[in-house]
Amino acid sequence: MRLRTTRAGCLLALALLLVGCQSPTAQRTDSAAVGHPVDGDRLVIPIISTPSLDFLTCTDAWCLLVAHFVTDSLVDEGENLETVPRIASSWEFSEQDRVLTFHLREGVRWHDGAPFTSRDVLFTYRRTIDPASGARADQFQDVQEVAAPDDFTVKVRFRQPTVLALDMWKVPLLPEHLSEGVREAPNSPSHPIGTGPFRFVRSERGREIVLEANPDYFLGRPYLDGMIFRVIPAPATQFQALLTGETDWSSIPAAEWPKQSSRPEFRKQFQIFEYPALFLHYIGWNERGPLFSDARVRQAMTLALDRQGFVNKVFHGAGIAAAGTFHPGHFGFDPAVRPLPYDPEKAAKLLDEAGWRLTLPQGVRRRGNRVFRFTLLIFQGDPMQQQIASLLADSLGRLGVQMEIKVLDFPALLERMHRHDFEAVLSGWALSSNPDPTALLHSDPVLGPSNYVGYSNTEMDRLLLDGRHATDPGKRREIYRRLQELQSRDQPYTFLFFPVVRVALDGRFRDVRASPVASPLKPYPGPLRWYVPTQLQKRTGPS
Amino acid sequence: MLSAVPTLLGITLVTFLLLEILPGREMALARAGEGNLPSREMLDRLRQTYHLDDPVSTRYFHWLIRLCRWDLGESLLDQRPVNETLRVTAARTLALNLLALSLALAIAVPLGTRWAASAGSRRDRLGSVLMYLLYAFPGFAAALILQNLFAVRWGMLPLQGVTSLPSSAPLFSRGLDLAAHLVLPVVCLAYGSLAYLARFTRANVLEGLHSHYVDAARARGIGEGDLVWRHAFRNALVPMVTLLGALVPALLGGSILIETIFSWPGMGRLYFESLQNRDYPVVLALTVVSALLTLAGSLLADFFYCIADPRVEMEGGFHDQLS
Repeated sequence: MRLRTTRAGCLLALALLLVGCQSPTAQRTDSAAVGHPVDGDRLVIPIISTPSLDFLTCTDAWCLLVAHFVTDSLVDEGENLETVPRIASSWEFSEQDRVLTFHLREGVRWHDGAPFTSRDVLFTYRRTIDPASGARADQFQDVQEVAAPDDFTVKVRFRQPTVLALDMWKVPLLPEHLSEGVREAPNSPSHPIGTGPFRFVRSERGREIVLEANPDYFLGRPYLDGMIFRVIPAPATQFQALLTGETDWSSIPAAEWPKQSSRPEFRKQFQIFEYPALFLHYIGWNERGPLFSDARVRQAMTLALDRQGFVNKVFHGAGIAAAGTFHPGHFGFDPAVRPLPYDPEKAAKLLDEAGWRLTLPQGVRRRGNRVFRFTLLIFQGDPMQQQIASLLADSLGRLGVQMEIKVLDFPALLERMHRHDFEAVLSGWALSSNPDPTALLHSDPVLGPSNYVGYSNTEMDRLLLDGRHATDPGKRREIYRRLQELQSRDQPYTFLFFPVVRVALDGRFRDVRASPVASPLKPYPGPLRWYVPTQLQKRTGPS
Repeated sequence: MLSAVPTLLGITLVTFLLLEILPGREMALARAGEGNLPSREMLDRLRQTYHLDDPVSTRYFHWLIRLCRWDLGESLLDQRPVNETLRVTAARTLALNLLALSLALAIAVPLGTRWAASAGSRRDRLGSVLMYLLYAFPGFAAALILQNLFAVRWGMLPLQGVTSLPSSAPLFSRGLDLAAHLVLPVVCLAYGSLAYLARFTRANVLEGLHSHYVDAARARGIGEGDLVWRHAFRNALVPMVTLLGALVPALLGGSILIETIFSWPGMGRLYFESLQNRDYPVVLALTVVSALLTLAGSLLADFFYCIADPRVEMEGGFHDQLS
């Protein structure tokens, strides 16, 4: 297990958790008096819309969450981002970390009764790397070969040792026996079959996805009878539905936080979790264009924006300004690399140096005949994006830089990004628990498929690959320290902030453990251990 | 009747072409997300899978042939037959809108007529002001206030959704449950059209009351009540029927705002989400359905003219009205 969060990172996150809210641990102690875990009750979670349930291609958070419960992966993430066994009961590295051998649990069955074997792992791998499947395969780049010497062993050979060796096997596994014809197969996205702790029962577009406990799960049946993902498109309604008891879970809108967090009844009725999410908002500058190829200009853009002030004012402090792609909970996070401060004077100086001089009488910046003017693309439907964009336009306006805002819907925005047809774009990344940012920063299109800003620096490329293949934690930490310094110096993106997410869960659920960087739904086994004491059970009977 | 066919074809063609120039289709197909843009190779494969490299005319033609057999294809999002999704969603929207419209009519028509009868009085003026105020106050704001009062604060009605009971519950309690879920959205939907319909009724009845035939009837000694209801109101029905004809497609149109606030999975949300996900088969199917309904609505209005006003004849009329 090479991936481990730093102690400092954990402590920081834990401190945030303790400062911000009543510790969920305290509530668990109360619950111990109520009794032992019992079966029963259902968990209702609101979702914005029904996701596609094609586990092979899913990338959005809700599809992945359903996959997390309906099917298994070889390994998974525990409460502190550590890699924990899931359907693989153990693993070992050999041949100087070039070969990884997984030992699978025996006697595991798919929900339709067919036995699970190493052939299913092989099948999942082959489907994923087949371009025709439409799945994202870049996590398997370093894999040379996957073999199944027997039904319960999987051997992975790597081209070179990689720190992603285990992370890549967190993908949901697919059943080989239901694979014929793929799209027409019984295991279609409309009725996924897995080996997981919950079985898929039904889904209705725009309404709900219903799962029930799998009595034959290899860790034993989950205590909860089922899970219901209910579609509630309006975020404000989601929170109110928690208050009325129609759901058991909701994120707490920033505007509601000051009011609710001081209400004792609210704290008594709900368990509150607060964590800096593995998500990073950023502004991408098209470095293939004439405006932003100069690092000084990008630095000036970052210096011109009061990120922490914005977080404090608009989100009531629910965010941590970012210095780079490294989250405080990540391995190798270096607190010495500080986020660039809000310093409009320095920004002006840097723009002057880059040749963009303020010209009167209009007070605009020019270099030769060219006026410093660009368009920022944002996507529709997120009020926060509008707010950040307005703040940026305002700050830049005072520096003599003209910025226009253009709103696009999400697929249209992605297409512009894909074609490099933009000047600046405001968006965000869901980060993984592994800090490796190669996909976002490497100049090679295969290694850096998401580096659509066209950032290119040979030193960065080298550090990224060195970090990916440094299996020695000390060496890797040193590489990541330099990598973070370089990110700060180059400002390939303007890294905005990691949002602090606050969620509330109905108080009747017991044995709910917080994760320092993720919702309590995420760690494994997590919700498999949740239970509701008999006298508090609310949703009983068939679903 | 036949002139409806080119109209329908025109609508589908324009929709098909508009969707064609809408950017982002491949991105939606590849389920691309923030920070994970698809590779060129993957996009090429997707274009192949969905025959996107064929000329537009070929694809339109294929789609049209399948449409003739009412084969609407499968959703790109959940791989289910569009027909199935459409049926369930349409039923839900129709239930909501029919109830809302009936409620609005049941209040607006008697109210508007009575105001017309007492035109110029203080009651009439007060009513007018009230109706304008209602009309000016947006429905979604009313929805949020009602939700907060009836669901969150007093806990009398469910906040959102279609049902809260499992399908195994007894039929009667499930019916009650559904009715309780309908109350708030129906009220919010009805309230928007209420003011409009009341004003509309008042204006038309008033026009009737000022006409010569009413004067003549009054001269014959017919009572005020009969004058209003049997004479003026009866004549006001003709413009009302026209209006209702125009409302038929709206019955299935669905209000995105109300459906979003109350998590009512109806046609409005389906259309909106399908467009956002570039779920073309669903978008096209919804367009065809609403075009068909618009045509059916004007047909229906013609039919009801004959009942409201016996002087209108059916023969040949249909054709002319439609074109």
